[in-house]
Amino acid sequence: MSAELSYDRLKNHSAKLQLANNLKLALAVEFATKDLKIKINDTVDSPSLTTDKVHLFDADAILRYAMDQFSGAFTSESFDSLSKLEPALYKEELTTHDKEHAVHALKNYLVSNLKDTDSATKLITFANVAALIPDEVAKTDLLKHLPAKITIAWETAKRLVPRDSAQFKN
Amino acid sequence: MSELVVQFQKLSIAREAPALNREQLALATQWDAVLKSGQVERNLDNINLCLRDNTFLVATRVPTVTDVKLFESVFPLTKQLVSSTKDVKDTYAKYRHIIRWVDFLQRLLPIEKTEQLSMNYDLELPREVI
Repeated sequence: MSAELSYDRLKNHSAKLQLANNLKLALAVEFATKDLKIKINDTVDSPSLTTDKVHLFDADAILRYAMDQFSGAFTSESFDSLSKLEPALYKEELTTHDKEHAVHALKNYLVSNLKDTDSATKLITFANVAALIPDEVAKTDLLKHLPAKITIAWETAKRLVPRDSAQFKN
Repeated sequence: MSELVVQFQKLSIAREAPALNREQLALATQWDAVLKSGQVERNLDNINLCLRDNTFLVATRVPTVTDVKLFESVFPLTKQLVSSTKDVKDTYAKYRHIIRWVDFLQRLLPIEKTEQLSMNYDLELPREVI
C-alpha cells in the first residue's frame, strides 16, 4: 500500500509543536510496516498522511497507523502524553506545571526505557518531551544512545523546524 | 466514563459494533488525540470534512463510542455556533456535515428535547462545491 506523507510547515504552529509533529512523522517513515510505502509530498504544508483508504492529520495517529500499533493508545503513559504534554505544545510559553509534567514523563517513561524500543507510545512521549524541554533532555544520556532509526528521525525533524532568529549570526 | 457513553453502551447498536480495521483504528486514535489534547474547537473543519466523506467519525456504518465522546464536546460548540450568528444559513452551510451528525446523535442518545439543537430542516443551502 502506498501513502503520501507531508511534514508540518504551518506558520501558525510554534517551533515546538512543529518539532514534535515532524519528529513523529519522521519516526513514522522510519518505523513503517513493510507493506506501507511512504512517499514524501513537499507541496503540502500541513501534517498529513493519505492513502487510498484513509486521510489522517494528527501526527500521533499517523505514527500509530504507520507502525500498525494501537494497543498502547489507552495506557496511562499515553493519557499523560495526550492530556498533559500535548496541550503545552500549543502554548506560547510553558508554565511551571507544563515543565513539571514533561520532566516527570522524561524520568518515568523515557530515561531507562528508550533504548531498543519500537513502541509507538514511547516514541510519541519522546517526541513530546524532546520538543517541550530540549535542554533537560540534553542533560541526560538519552540522545547519545538513541537507536539509529530514532537518530535519523531526530535529525530530519530538527532540519525541518525553522531556526529561531536568535540563532542567526550577524 | 461519562453519562452519555454509559447510555450509548446500553444500546444494541453499541453492543453489536464490528471490530475496527487498521484505518478505522487510526481514525479512532486521531479523534482521541484531538479530544484529550483539548483541540476540538480548532479541528471543527477537520471533523466536518471527515463527516463529509463518512457517515460517522471512524468510517463505520454505525456510530461508535468515539462519536459519542466527540459529540460531548462538539454538541455545545455547534449549539453556540448556530445561536450566536445572525447568518444561520451560512453556519448550516459551512458545518452541514457536523450538524447532520449532531442531529442524528442527539436523537439516538437521547438528549432532552429542551436541550437539543433546534433544527431547521427547511433551510435551502447552496450546493457544496468539493
